[in-house]
Parts: sequence; C-alpha cells; structure tokens
Amino acid sequence: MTVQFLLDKMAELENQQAVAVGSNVITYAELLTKYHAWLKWIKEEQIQPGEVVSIKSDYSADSISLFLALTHNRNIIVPLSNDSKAHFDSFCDIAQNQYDIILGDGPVTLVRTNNQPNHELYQVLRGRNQPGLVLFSSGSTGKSKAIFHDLSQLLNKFTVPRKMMRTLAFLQFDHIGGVNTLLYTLANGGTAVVPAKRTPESVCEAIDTHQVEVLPTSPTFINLLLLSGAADDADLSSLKLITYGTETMPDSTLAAITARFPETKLLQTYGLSEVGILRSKSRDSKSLWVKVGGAEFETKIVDGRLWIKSESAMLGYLNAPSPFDEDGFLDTGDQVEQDGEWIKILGRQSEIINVGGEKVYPAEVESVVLEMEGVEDAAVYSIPHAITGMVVAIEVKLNTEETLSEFKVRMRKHCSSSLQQYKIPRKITLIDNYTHNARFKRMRKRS
Amino acid sequence: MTHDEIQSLVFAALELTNQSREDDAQVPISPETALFGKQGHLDSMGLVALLIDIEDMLLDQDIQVSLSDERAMSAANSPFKNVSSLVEHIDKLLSGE
Repeated sequence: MTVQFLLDKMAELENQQAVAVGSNVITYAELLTKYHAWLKWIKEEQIQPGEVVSIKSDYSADSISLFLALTHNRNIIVPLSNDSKAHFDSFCDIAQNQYDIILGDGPVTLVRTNNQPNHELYQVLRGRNQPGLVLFSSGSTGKSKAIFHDLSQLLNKFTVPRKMMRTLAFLQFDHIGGVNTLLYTLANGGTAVVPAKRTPESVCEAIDTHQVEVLPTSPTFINLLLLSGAADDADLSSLKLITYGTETMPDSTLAAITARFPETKLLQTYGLSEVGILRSKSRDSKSLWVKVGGAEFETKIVDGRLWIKSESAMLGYLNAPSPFDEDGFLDTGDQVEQDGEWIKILGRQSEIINVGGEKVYPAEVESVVLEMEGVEDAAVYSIPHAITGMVVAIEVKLNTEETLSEFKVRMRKHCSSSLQQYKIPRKITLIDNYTHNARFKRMRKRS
Repeated sequence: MTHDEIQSLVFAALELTNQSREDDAQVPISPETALFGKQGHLDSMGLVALLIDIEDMLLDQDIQVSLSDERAMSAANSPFKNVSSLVEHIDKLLSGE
C-alpha cells in the first residue's frame, strides 16, 4: 500500500493541524476520518483500481482526503483545480477520464463518462498495479502536454523523514509544485495552509493567522507582494523560508525581497512536471547560484543546457512523444551558467532572442526594467525585424501617468547604464493588466 | 500626410531619440542629417529604434506601416541614408507606391 506510511504518520499526529483553509482548520484525525469515508464511498460507487478519475476542486480537506483514498485504490488521478477551468474539457478529453468528481460547497457530484482509456502508458501502470497522476503543463511554450506519473514513485521520495513545517499551499494539486508541497507536508506532519485567494493580501493574512513558516512561490508573486505593500499590514515574522521557482528570478526582485525580509531565508527550487522537484540549495539568500540534485536525480550539462535523469520521472506524455534520451535524461530546455557544482539558470532556450547574432535572455532585461520607479510588471518578447532579424520588445505595466514617449526616454536612459544596446527593448507597449497567469508565472507574448 | 507633415514627424522622432542620448551624441535635426551608413549618426540598433518610434507615431494617427520591409533593405539607394531619403521613403509607402 503506497499511502500506508502517510496514514501511519497521520494516525500518530491526530490532534495536529493538517490543513487550514481560511478559518477552517482540520486535524490529522479528521482528515483520516474523511479518508475512510471516501474509501467506503469509492467502494459503493464501484470505482475500480486502474480507472481514470478526475477531481475538480481546489485544495480542501475533502479533496485532499479523496486524493489519498483514490491513491490507495490505485486509480489514475487527474486533479483539476480552478486555475485551469478554461481547459477542463480538453484536459478531460486528453486524459480520457471515466469518472468526474466535482467537489464544491454542496454535496459531491459524480459523473460517469463513456471513455475507454487504453493509452499504452496507462496499460504499463496498470501492469504495475500502482496509482497514477496526470498533470498538465501550463502551455507557456506551446500546447499543454499531459504528463503521466507513476504516483507511487512520486510518493517514495517522501518516505525519508524531514522537517515538520507549516507551509502555504500556493499551488494546487494539479501542479507538480502543489503536489510536492502537499505530500511533503503530510509526510512530515506539517500543516498545509490554503489562502482564501491567491492575492498578496490574502496570502499575507493566511501567513499571519496560521503562523506560516514556508512560502513556496514564484518570482512574479514576490514582485507583486512587494509592490502591493500587503506585507506591511500583516505580521509575517513567522516566515522562516521563502522558496521560488517555476521561472527565472530577476536580480532586482531577489535584491528587493532579501532587503525587505532580512531574517527570512531565500531558496531557489528547481523542478519540472516531467521529473519532479529536485532538492536544491542556494549559495546564499542573495544569490541566484544554486545546487540541484538529490539522491534520485542525476544531472548533466550539454552545450550549456541542463539535462536531468530522475527515478521519479514521468512515464511519458499522453499526447506527445517521449522526450527522454536513450540514457533516460530529459532536456530541460533551460540554459545555465556553471561554476563547479553551482549553476545559474539563465532562461529557456526557446525564449532566447537573437538580435543580429547576439543572445538576449528576457529575464535579464525584465530585471533591469523592473528596477525602475513606477514599473509594476514587465514581460519581454521578440518581434521580427528586417534589419536585425529580431528585436527586443517589452510590455510594461506602469502606475504613473506617463505617455509612451515619456516612458520610452526614461526607460532607455535607465537601460543604457546596465544593458548593452542590443538588449534594450525597442518596441514598448504599455499595458493595463499584469502579465502573469493564474499560477503567477509571467506569460511572455510569442512573436 | 503631406511631405512636410512627414518631415515634422521624423524630426519629432529624432528629438525623442536625442532625449535619451548623451550630449556629445546628439543627432542634428535637419533634412541633410546623415542617418545610417557613411558618416551616419546612428548604428543599426539606433536606426531600428528610430524606425520603431516613427512607426509608433504613425500608429497614433491610425496609420499602420512597416518602414523596414524587404524592399527597403534591398533598395539600391538606402532609404535610411539621411533624413530626406527617409522622408521620401515614408511618403512613398504612405501613398502606396
């Protein structure tokens, strides 16, 4: 039984807080009771091992206990949080779910479909008699890919006991980072704190109310947190660690957050839906140099690009060819700089802009523009140009009343002191909305 | 747009360029000013920036045009040689020649 170690841990810690959603706090004993109720329900509804089940819900005591019960029943789970509501139909179609479980404020809804999922990777997993997990990539680099994991292998890595922490559940369980936070928390008797909303105000309120120690988040959210001033109205002294990943951290944002929270440790995390989250260590809180790895991971750098091999890697994509090389390594697509065992992530190969033969990483340019007074958000992309092949373009959200021409002059002066000419954005568009998606990852326009 | 209006617009774009240039790198505002190439005041990135600024200004007047298409790049006489050749080039593009 793959979840047995979690259940044993939960039974030990019965009065300990397991999940806090808004003001509603659930203990491990209550979570365990819900888990057993779900097991009974699964039996009554005759949901068989190996069948594909989607759960439409955000984190709650119900959805977490259902997730564990379906894991125990060795189902293939397709978690769908409201982050991806717009894609529910296409995701269900790709995953070929047989059951759709919808959790909300009222009673549970169970919908049976006529799908007959016979994907060869599903058959492999059924042969192993293990539970599965289907996650979808955000599609920031093309169409969403369905990533299929043997869930027992993802769980294995949590059998090693680690520190008990009160952690903010920033990402949902349909994202590898969210699954990681949840499993880590449960495996170590910590508390997962789910904010009412994923706004800076709501997150700060949750940290304050529930004395959260760890905030796993993205550079974009950190930027918004600083801009909003939300941290000034809440007591965040419980926060010991802020982790960031999913996108390249701009130097300017890292400098600002370490200055604002000098007592809090900053840690860069690195992971991909395909291989899971690696263990990582930042050289120090102010550094973008990071060491990644862990017992079950192997890394190599080829032509400046990071490749990863992992014991807990996915079985494959449901809707794309296998990306692994013959030795089982996956090309992360991330371009890195290397200094001994330390690496610095420069950005995705696919997002490099080639201006007259010179390489430009969007994150470097964004970092410089984000330093400017009045700039709330910035996202760099490229446009084709007859003279230099490509030129750097940028979308900027301002909180000033400047005209485009006024801002152009100010931005160029600012950039000239720290960027080479070819890196300075030539096409500038002022925008009204933030550029990030529901998971606070910056979405750059595609040329 | 008349020839004079186009020239004023190019002058305005050059003034904008000058605002973010050092004092010793100012581009003279005149029809004879050499832009790109021999004795030109702009390098390739400077030219790209100027062209995009002009395109932005035209867009403000609901005119959508690309000043650096294939035809411009392959013209025997570069339209980017000086201010007056650039004004000619824009004039031709706008009148659909």
